[in-house]
Amino acid sequence: MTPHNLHVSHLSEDELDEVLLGIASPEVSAHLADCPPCTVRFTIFQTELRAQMAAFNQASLAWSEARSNTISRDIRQHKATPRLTLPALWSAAAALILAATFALHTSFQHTAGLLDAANSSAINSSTEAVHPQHDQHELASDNAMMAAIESETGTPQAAQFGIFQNTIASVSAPPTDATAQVRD
Amino acid sequence: MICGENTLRTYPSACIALEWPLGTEGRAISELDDIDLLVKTYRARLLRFVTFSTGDPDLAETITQDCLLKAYNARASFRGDSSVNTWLTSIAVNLIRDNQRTQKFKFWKQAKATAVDVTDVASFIATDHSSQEQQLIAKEQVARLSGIMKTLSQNQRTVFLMKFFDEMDLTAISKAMGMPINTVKTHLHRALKAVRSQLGAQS
Repeated sequence: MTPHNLHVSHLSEDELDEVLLGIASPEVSAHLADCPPCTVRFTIFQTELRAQMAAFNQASLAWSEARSNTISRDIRQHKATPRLTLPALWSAAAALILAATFALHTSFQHTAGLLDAANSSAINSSTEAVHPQHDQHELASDNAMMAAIESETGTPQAAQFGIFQNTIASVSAPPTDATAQVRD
Repeated sequence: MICGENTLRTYPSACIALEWPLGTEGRAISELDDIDLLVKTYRARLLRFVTFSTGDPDLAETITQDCLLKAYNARASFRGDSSVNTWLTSIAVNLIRDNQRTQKFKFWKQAKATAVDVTDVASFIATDHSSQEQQLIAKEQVARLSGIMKTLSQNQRTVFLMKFFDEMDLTAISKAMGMPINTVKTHLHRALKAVRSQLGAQS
């Protein structure tokens, strides 16, 4: 009994493919030679595939030869396409992230600067609005203080300062006037 | 005096200059030294392989030129342990892979890819010695197989092209693809299964 006679069932598609690829085992080859149904199946597929391939092979080779002739013969003039390797891509990504971070940082700084400017201008304007009241209040307190000093010393030296004139007048006059009013 | 294997690998030009008998490797190496011969012999075949592997004829032209230039520039590193054809195919396969890797990041360029015009390819069917009916059948066959190949995965299509159109054996395909022979067999089995089922469905 030869080994291929042990192969009772017909060949599977994978085994037929192996025959077509030229890598079939001796048992499969022997079975194919002895089994008419398998031979018919194999021949039909092989014939059809060969017909398709022959047409495709001939047409595609003629097409690529024609196309090849249109390309420059001198490949030394051809500049090799730069390869975008993985490290290059990572570097580019890192550079992009850095650039984006820098741009965001700059943008924040710019915005903060604008806000500072706006705040300081608002503060200045409010300060300017407050100053006249502040000055008057200060002057009034100064006058009161000078008046108190004057009343303590009894010398109207402050009168030499024009700014205190009204105050001095109002401080020095009342006792006589008040005495007169009481007398009246 | 016969040029020894080591001498041939190290000093191929010396062997040629001294007109020593050369083996296959010597012929292969001298073939790489002549850039015009390299282009003339391999460009059309490479162009076809890359075109139908990528499905983009414009990209295929660039990759083919890159491949030949790269092979010419790196000819000193060719050890001669495979044929020039296998070596060139492996360079082309690597360039295709590089391109596909970078294309993932160039999604905005996807729309620019051109497709192979099957009608244009089919029009190159030889018109001599065949009737109009035969030509029509042949054009249909080209269109049909081209359509089926589009449905295969990248690896299946590439090994299918190598096996059936470039007539490379499994060892050479394995070398060119950089994958084990069993993986090549699996891809070929799957490709053939898809081709068989689609041919059966169409006929």
